Amino acid sequence: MKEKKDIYELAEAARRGDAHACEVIVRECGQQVFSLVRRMVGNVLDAEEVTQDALMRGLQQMEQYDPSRASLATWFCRIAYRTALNHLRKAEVETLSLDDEESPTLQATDEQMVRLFQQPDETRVEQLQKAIEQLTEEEQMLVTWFYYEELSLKEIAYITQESVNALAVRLYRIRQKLYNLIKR
Amino acid sequence: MKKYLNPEAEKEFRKDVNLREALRRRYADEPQLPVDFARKLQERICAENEKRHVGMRVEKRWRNVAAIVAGVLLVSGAVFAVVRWGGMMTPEAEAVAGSDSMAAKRTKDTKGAVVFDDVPLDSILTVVVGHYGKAVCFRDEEPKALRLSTSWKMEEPLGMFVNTLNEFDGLRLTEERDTVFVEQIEEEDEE
Repeated sequence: MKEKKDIYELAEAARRGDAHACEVIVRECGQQVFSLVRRMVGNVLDAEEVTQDALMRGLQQMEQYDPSRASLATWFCRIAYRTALNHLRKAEVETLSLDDEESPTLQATDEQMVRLFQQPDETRVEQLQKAIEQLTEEEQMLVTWFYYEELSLKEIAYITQESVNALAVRLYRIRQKLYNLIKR
Repeated sequence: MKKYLNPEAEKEFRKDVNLREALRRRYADEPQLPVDFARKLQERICAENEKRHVGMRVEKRWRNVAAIVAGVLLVSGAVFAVVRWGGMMTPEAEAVAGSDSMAAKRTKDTKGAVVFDDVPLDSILTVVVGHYGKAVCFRDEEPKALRLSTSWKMEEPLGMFVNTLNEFDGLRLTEERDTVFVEQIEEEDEE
């Protein structure tokens, strides 16, 4: 799967409907793409369909994929992220961006942030679990990629097509928002 | 906030153990991708490809029809010219016309049964399955090039032809909704 030529040949075979090629792609990238989509759209059945759409679109656009910039799974995640956002927009699900949100009312100090996020505490973990639910889909995706999937800011920036700095600021604001949600 | 614009921001955020733990618990029982997902994806790709091919075939067919109409008009014009200016047909011409109609009659005699002699399965199924307005999806590549000799009666249901092909060793055809799936099977599978 590392060689560029191999990947393109695999994609070509999958585009023709070759069973083995489809299996390899689903095995290598399917779960990651499906998890991303399901977290965004919520419903498992919709997530399956959107995942299929994203994989098919990714196969069709394979000539745009550059293996030196991202893994194949990250490439499909990038397509899936856009596909899921379109699905949500079509379904008229509210997906407000962080910029549309009200600014946090409380500006936490570094010390308060360290206490909330970095000092292991069972109560804090439970509070954070509830607060995460109140974030927008995009915010939830961002923290999930960074903290749960452990993707780097560079990888996330590749998926969302933003700058690393912009993402760092967004993460900072999400942390502030979580702090405020807990304090309220 | 300025310090979160520098490369150290990522390292700082990585220390958020409580947030990581909260997310880990959140996704502890996350659903897995269905086991038959790859098969569903492949079927959808085949169906989309078939739809595209049918569209191209229809377009090609219309082009053929246009070419035939143009040909018929040309020939009619030529015949008209011969009759108008060339007079009655000669006895030799009448004999040739007679032999043509005999050939047509022979064709008519065997109408309804198409004989495939040493033809790739891919081509056979394109003709037969296309006749019933359905799609073909090869789950394995190998059977596509398999050369078979068989016959097909247009007036019979597709299922009968599918059953006929299923009698060939190592081949399994199944009809699912609007698609006929073809796969290669091992000898043990058949038992």
